[in-house]
Amino acid sequence: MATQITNYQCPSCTGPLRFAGGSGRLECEYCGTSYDVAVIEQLYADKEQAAAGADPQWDTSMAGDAWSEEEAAHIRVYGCPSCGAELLCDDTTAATACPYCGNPTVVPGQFTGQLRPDYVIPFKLDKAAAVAALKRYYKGKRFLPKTFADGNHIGEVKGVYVPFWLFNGEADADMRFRGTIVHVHRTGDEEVTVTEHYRVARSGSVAFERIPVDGSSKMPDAHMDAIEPFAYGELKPFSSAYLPGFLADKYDQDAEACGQRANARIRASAQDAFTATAGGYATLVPEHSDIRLRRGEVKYALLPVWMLSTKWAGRDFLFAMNGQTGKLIGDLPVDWRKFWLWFIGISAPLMAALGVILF
Amino acid sequence: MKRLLSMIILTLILCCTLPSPALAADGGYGGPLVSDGARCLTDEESFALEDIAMELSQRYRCELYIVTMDDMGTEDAYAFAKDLYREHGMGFGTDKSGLLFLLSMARRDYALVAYGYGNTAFTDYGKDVLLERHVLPRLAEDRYYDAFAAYLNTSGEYLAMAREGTPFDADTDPEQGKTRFLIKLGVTLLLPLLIAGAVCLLWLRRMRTARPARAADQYIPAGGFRLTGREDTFLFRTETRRTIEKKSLGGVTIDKDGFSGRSGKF
Repeated sequence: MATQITNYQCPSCTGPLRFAGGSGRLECEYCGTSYDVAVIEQLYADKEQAAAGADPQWDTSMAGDAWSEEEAAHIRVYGCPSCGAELLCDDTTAATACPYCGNPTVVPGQFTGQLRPDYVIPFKLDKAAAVAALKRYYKGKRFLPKTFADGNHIGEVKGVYVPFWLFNGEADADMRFRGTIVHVHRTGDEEVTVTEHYRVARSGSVAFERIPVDGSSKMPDAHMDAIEPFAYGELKPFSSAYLPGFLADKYDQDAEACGQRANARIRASAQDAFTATAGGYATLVPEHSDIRLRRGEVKYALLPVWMLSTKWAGRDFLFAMNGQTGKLIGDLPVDWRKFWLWFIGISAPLMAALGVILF
Repeated sequence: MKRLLSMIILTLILCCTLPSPALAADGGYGGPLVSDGARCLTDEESFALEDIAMELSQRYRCELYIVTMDDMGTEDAYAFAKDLYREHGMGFGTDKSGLLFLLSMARRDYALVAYGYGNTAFTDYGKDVLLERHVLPRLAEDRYYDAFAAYLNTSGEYLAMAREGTPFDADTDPEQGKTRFLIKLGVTLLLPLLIAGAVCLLWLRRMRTARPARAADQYIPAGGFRLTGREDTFLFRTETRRTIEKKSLGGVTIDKDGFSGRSGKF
């Protein structure tokens, strides 16, 4: 069950290297030396090659009593190359940190073969930026409970490379609507309404590029959808050299399963796009909609996300920030007393003002 | 010719009816205020209405007439009523103030004309309410005495209001006042609630931003949308008509002859 892992070490002092989003380079925390990603990749190429070719050396039969088969199937044990501690994590973790020495650690075996991502967008924003963004997010939220906003409730802050499937595709559409155009004119004492009825037909195609759908069941879909978009101009060919200092998961929902979400979004957009071409009608009622999807290529990418969690009044609150653009989303607790006070506070003066004006 | 005959017959009826010496002595028309040529009323009813009309006319110095006839020919009821008013010298005092309500039974025509101070006391809105709320519903059921009594009593109320300086109009109608009050109350209570609700829901929405994506519009590349077929086919046309309700804005519309009023069928 155990496998080997890699942590990138400073060629100068052997201290751990972390990927710094701001500089886009790997930096040593101890001697401060920074290295270009490509240089470190080259240095570690041989080591990774060797690690990839090696077979696991652990005797898993010794752990048979401790874990059920089902548990064992999803648990991996790694030895920290820095302090020797055994790291326990699930089978979708590809990068983590040693809980004993804090060493950032990459598990290259998790990305080998078909699982290896095509692209990665490196983190541009660090943990401090994520915490600051969350504090900014609290501001101006009138219904936020005071105790929630005042206290330092930010619990865990994790930078995670979330596995995303990027879907390319095309939708061919044939749509029919029943549309009406209404003319109103006055003849003598009568108002005459003339309604013209039309059959409206539209057909064509819409192409889509890189619709992201997260392939991790651990990540809430609504959160991952809401932090879009990512700037794909900064997509880079995958290298594990971008991972140190962050967590990284491999996908546990394959492209076929995630494709359903992409299909639904494609259909909705195609329908909206063709409906938008039928302007000028007072009413437009869809009568027939035939949207056929043509699947294009699917790419696998790791995209940077800061996950911030907090607990308040016995409830968990999870926030996500796009590690590239800084867009932060999440559901905040609502103080309903404040909600109703504001409701009364707005409506009562308006009532008084209208009362003075109208009576 | 028929119109002339009608006027002669009506003149004879008006002349044969007992004059009103009190009114004549006080600047009034002198002739009867109620002339039931079509015999819609019993004698007792006619006398009773005459007494009411005379009392109100004296009190408010504006004469209230009721005239019924069998057939006025094909002439417009409003024009006929005006001619009748002028040719018989109707009206109180030098400004000939009065209000004439005429019925022609052959084609169930009616006309209501005001002159002099009648134009002040009986606004367009007031005449509409007098007819539609008090008189025409009773005439539709052939309750002539009730209709004429309502005409006189309501006219008396209008004259009283006018003499007090506030003629009955859209803005002084108590019924309209109730409706306006309820509308204003509704606006005063509901509009702020709607605005406050919309604002609070908007703020609430800003606190819940983790929402699944519905569409993928932002992933359509430039030139990615191709419209290859576009056909708009006209199928048919439908037409509906609605009579526009005339809303009186208050005041009175006086024609070039100095009369105001309206006519129609009952």
